Amino acid sequence: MHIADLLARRPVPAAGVFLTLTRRCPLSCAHCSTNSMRDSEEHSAEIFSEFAATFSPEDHPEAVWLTGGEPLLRPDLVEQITRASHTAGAKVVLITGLYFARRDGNVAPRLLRAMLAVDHVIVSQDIFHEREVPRAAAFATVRTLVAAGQDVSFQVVGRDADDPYLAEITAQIRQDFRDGVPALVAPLGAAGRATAWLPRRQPARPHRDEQPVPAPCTMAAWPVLTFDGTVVACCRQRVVDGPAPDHLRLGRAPRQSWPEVARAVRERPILRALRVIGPQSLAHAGGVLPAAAGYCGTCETLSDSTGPTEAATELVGRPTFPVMESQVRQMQLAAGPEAFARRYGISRYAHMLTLGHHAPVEVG
Amino acid sequence: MSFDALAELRSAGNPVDQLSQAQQQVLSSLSPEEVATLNAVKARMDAAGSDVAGHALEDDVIGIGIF
Repeated sequence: MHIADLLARRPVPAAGVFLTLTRRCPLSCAHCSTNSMRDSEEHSAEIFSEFAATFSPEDHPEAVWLTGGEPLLRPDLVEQITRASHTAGAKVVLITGLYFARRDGNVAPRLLRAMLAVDHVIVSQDIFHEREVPRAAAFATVRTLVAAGQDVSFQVVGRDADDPYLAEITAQIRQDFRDGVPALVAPLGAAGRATAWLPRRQPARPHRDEQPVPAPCTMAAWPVLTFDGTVVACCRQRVVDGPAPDHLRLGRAPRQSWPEVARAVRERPILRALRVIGPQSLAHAGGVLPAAAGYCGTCETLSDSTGPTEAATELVGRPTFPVMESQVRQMQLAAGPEAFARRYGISRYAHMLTLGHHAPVEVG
Repeated sequence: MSFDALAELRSAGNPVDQLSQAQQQVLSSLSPEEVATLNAVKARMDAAGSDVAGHALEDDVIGIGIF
């Protein structure tokens, strides 16, 4: 399945779910947003397998995204979750740093089997990964996957649009894979190990008397089953690492089943309000000043007082709210996956997302 | 002059004429504040669709990938 088709569903509540199978990773990338190390935390496989076992043909995410750390440190778990997902009717996406390809790009049969079992493999590619896994080795692995018929994409990060690394690597991806392998190109962010050396961008903050412009949050749509089984409604690293603010905390797997988590994502008033007007407008409606920490920073404060939750309940309870919600979602779906790449990635390279995409992106 | 929600939405570039009569009827009941919200979202998405770096509209959304 093509990455553009997968990301086309990003605005749809509970269309996707992330499972962070382990924080462990054998690589030592300087920018690692999860601060993963060889001996990082890893919890019981049952947390994840039992949660996946609650998917059913009647109620399942459209796509299950397996990530970490390095999820291929648990290839048996990857296959087990993939079987459960496929049985229910869900697609599976795997995000990997290709630690095993470091020497020569060869892939052990057990890992290849896991990578071919899923529906899409995303390979991390950036200047930091290249110090750990040489580009030639990473590309050799991608060629192996493509030759076996697997859909693959790169997740490339760079400093900004003018980073010469991005121009060079995207040109080589296009040339070596003949425009057949897409890439999502995104800016480096100050999370995990990168906080030690990457300055945090100063977010825009509305003036205290200024009404914030509504800005829907696309991220409050797909839940994340975090490393220790906590389920949260946002994939931002600070939320995943916890403790998550109450309004973004959905429960704990496997005690909470997929249907319960999906229902909370779709129906919790504050999440519905975030998806329509965003955190700063919601804070304003609740009588709270938007935080200095900006858009996401404001979201993190929404549970500190009752105002925003009450404002969300009032907003969502209006008879006209469902049509507002529907209109915003239709706008996002109509904008398509390249809009996602422009908003959260680096705009200049948004076209890389649809390389090799031949079928029309479904927007319904 | 009474507020015409559909006209306001249409003038902001929202494709309201492609909607069914029933949907248009619901949209026509939106308040000025609600229409302003939808138009602001539309304007924001149009801005992010240009060559302006859309990411600058928010602060860092960095986590388990940016997905």
